[in-house]
Amino acid sequence: MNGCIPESPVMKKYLELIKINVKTQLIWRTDAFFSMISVCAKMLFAYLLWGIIFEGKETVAGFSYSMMISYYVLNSFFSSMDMSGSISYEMDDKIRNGSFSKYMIIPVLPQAYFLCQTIGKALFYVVFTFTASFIWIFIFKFDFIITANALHVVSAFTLLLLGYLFMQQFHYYLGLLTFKFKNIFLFLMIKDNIFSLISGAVIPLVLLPHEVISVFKFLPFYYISYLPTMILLGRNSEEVPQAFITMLLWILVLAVVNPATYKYYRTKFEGAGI
Amino acid sequence: MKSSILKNIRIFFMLLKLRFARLTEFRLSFFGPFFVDSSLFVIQVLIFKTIYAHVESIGGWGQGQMLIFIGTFSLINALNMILYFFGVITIPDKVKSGSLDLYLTKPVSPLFRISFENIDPGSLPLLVTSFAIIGYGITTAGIIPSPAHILLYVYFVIIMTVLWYDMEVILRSLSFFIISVDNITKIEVACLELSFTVPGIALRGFFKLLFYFILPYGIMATIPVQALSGQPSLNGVFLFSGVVLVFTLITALIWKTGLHHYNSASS
Repeated sequence: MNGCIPESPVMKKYLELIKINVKTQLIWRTDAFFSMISVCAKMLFAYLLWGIIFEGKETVAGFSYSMMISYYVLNSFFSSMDMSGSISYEMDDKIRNGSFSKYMIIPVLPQAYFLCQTIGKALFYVVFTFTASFIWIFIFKFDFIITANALHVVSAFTLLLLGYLFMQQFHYYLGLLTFKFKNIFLFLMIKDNIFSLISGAVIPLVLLPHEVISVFKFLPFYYISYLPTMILLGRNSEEVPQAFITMLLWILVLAVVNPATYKYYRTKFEGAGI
Repeated sequence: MKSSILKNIRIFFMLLKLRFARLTEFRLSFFGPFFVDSSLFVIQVLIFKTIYAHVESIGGWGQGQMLIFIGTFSLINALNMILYFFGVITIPDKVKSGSLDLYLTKPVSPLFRISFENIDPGSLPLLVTSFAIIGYGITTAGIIPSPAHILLYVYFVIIMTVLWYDMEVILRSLSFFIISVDNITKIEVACLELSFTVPGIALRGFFKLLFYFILPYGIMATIPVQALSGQPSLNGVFLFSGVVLVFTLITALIWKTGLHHYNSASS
């Protein structure tokens, strides 16, 4: 590809898939604009609500106002870059109407196909989401807080990548459950509601009672966007080793469970509706 | 006028009967909207309880008033889901596919029939959840509302349900003029999410103007809560009733203009 890294046929195949998915997004350009609006709404929520909460207060739960808004800038950017949520919805739809069979006959593993799709989307959206998140620094005119420690920055971004990989595996697994339950749409919507709370997308998890946080630390969702955001704000860096171990363990579990689940259910798929 | 109202009431009950007959075919998803929306509102309660563990008030509202706010939003949303949501959301498809023709040829107001033909009784338990949250909020706030305040609260809940309906119809009636309203409804979702998480009391300056009078999602649950707490003045009652009236007139105008603009895709 670039003359330095030898390109295997398998790698070339998946790179092509990523390229195709980036190009596909060009057809839906206005979606990018409206996804920016969604990010802006999140930022506006933080600005309005926390603006009034901080009236007459210096800190809340150890957060200054600038730190709180910085939290939402970083977290809304990181959460929006996780494009894997659509995988389970797409699988739910395609398994039910029978068109999932196309993923069974093309010479690509279904999970790898969806991974390429997620990467392709993320690459297309990164500029829009970045702009929508960070433009508020200039609009709100607050002191944007971010750590200067290079090791913490590297740790946070590595954790983010592991988090995105896990979310892709997780949503693929949920999608596979359609083979068993036929329609998981409502379950996915409830999952989205719960996920917004436990991932720290709505409020920083540090506001929750200590006992609840202790339980969350065993789950992978704590490490997806919340912990990387906190590390970049210069907090919670002592949790990095535990974060890596937990995330790698969860990724390993799903790396085993997903192919086994697919192998089990694919033989039961009738492809009704083709 | 009286016979027209009686006719519409009879049609409403006939549509309800037909809807029940159809819903029995899909029993599994009967309570689906209830579970989805309940999870959303319970999580919202948890979020504000978490915030109130660190602060005493938000914009002068204590935890009790915030709970009443969430319960009221849930109540208006429940009425929306039960009565007209699943009907109104079909407008763009009916315009695009031309199936609106079938409604125009019937001796019933097309908008009335579309709005109420998909009543969703599966969302009825949402009313129970909403009243439970409101009751919990009233207890937490230690408010003993007077009968006048309760009446005013009920009045505002009813007219805000009408306002919610107006906003839904206005946005979807744009399908008469543009090819797709999918992305416009995304703005509606963003506005609703924002107004649901940020009460009107937190709005200042431009944002207050925007969410009170231009995209009036900010008043939908805030004003009823203020009514229950005895906060709005007589001027406020007239002002917000006026806002609802103006948006209802705009809805009627856009719908009527849209029908004139409708070309019928199928013929």
